[in-house]
Amino acid sequence: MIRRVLIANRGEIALRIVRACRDVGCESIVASSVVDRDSLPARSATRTVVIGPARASESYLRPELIIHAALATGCDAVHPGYGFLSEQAALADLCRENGLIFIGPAPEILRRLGDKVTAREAANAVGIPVPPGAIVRSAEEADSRAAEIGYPIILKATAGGGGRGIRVLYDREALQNSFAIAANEAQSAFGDGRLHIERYVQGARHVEIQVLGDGFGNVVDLGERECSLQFNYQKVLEEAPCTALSAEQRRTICDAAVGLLKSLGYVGAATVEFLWDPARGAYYFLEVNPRVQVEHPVTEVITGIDIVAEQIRVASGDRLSFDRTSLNFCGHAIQCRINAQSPRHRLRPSPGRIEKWSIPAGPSVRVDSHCEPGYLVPPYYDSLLAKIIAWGPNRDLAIRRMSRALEELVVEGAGIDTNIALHKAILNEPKFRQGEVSTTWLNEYLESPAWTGRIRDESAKASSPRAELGRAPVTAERG
Amino acid sequence: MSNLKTEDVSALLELLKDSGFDELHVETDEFEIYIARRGASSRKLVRVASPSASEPVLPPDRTEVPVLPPVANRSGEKIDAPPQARAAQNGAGAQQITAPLMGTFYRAPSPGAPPFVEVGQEVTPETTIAIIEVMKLMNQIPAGVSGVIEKIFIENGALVEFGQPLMLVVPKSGQ
Repeated sequence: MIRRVLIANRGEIALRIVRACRDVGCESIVASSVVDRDSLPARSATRTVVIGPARASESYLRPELIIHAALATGCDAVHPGYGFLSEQAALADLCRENGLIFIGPAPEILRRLGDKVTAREAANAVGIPVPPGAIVRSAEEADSRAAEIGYPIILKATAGGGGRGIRVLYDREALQNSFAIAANEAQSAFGDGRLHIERYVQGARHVEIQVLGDGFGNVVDLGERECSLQFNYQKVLEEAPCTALSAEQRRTICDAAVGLLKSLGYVGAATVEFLWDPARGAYYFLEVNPRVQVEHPVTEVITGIDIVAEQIRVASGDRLSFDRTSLNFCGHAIQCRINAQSPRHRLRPSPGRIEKWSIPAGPSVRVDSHCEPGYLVPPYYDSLLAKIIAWGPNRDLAIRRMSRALEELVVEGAGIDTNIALHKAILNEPKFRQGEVSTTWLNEYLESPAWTGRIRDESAKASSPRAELGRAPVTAERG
Repeated sequence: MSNLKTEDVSALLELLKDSGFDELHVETDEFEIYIARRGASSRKLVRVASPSASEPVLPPDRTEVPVLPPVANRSGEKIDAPPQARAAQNGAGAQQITAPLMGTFYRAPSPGAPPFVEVGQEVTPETTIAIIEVMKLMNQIPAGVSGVIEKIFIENGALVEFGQPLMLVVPKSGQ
């Protein structure tokens, strides 16, 4: 069994991994940047090692610092969390070369899944439908391919992921205008300027399958999550199960995901993402995320399986603690991502110091967060403050409990703003209540009078942009 | 941070410029400084007070850097805990040399070779005082300051963290 894990991450996921380490009985070393040295995850771990300055490119994104810290502190494994180096084969390679266990798949698999083209080939090889598409090397080639495929099309950076480097284009002109910019962006953001073009499925739902595999050939799905509520391809609210799937459709997609990962000999946690076209009853492969995901608690809550603990277990060479027949799916779960974002400014990041911090509790509510009163949300990293997860025996009760939890949640501080108001609004939207939102719904909703009017009213009540979150308004500066 | 220098103020301005914040307020026993972006001043201050705050109010160069809290190793096994060097800034003009990167600290260029510096030795900013090794890459660490080595905090071969104090340098007497 792994004895000591180096956690190459920060924020709520670092704390989540520290907790899993405690539960399975191993020690945790958090490799942190200098601004995170006193954070809750750093204090909760067995030890923290400050590996570099605040800027991620000089700390969290440096594989050699992470490996050095792991070796120098006697760790036998490295958990990369999500984001940062979690999908970089370079870290997995270095782990292997230095006799450390990488808590994730083999570097060869990371390379194969990290490239849109080889990932599509792997899916295609096991009979999973992939949307028609191809790599395009020039604007001319993109033009002729798009004509074959038919608009709208989606233009993606081949090496992109996690919703970054994506453009939906509705006509030829838009494609001609975007191609060069997209190629440049892909080159600078991912170090790979190749672009991929695919048919864009309109009205689709984002459905993903959580899978775990061990070194004994067991690959088991833990059902699906629906993550259609996205703003600019960033997930905002996730839930399970998906309201759009019949039992038979669910079985088909889950089996497809398991078949794909079995064909790769996958060990560890992975999520296979699909687009579900409710109009045609068809599903299409999107990508595989070869790591733990932000929304994994939704699945944990309805299955009772600790996904992070299972990751550590299978990385240690043990078997999964369960099999498909022993899994019990129970009720419905929703997760709201609470971000330091300003709803009044198209959800732009809004970091600052948290002065008041009070999190919800009560029956069937779980909170995963690294925040606390007095915490300074650093401007260097992503804006996730907390994940609130609510469970209910059915979707209605899960929504009501989530509403109750959001009412209890208090985040106040100078300069800081959050998307709590947006979550409250979403939970009250008839379209969401009916379980009928597609991946474009939230972007449209943020432009709708229902939302802009709500924001205007709230701004009018507050004395200033900073006053909304509970500071007593004195005079109205803006209307 | 007892003497606020021009460079310190420029560093603060840089910090604010690159951050998502509109205002910065630093208060210590010796001074108080308030900086706001043009038009952003609400006098509702973002307090970054006291030198013990964990955020890098100043860029981590040769200025005072807070040290980790004591390490609680639940297994009881020694895992190279960093020494507590916080109280080391004693006397007028003493300066700490801190680790510009994390890695393994070596006092000599090779095993068995004499150390780069010893306590009592005079150094200039260019003097190599140690090597910090990261994954077999040897990084020479210059003193960055002039003076006499007063104290060496780290044992040869230990892991040093980014920003951790390595040595204390005092001005040469008579200077």
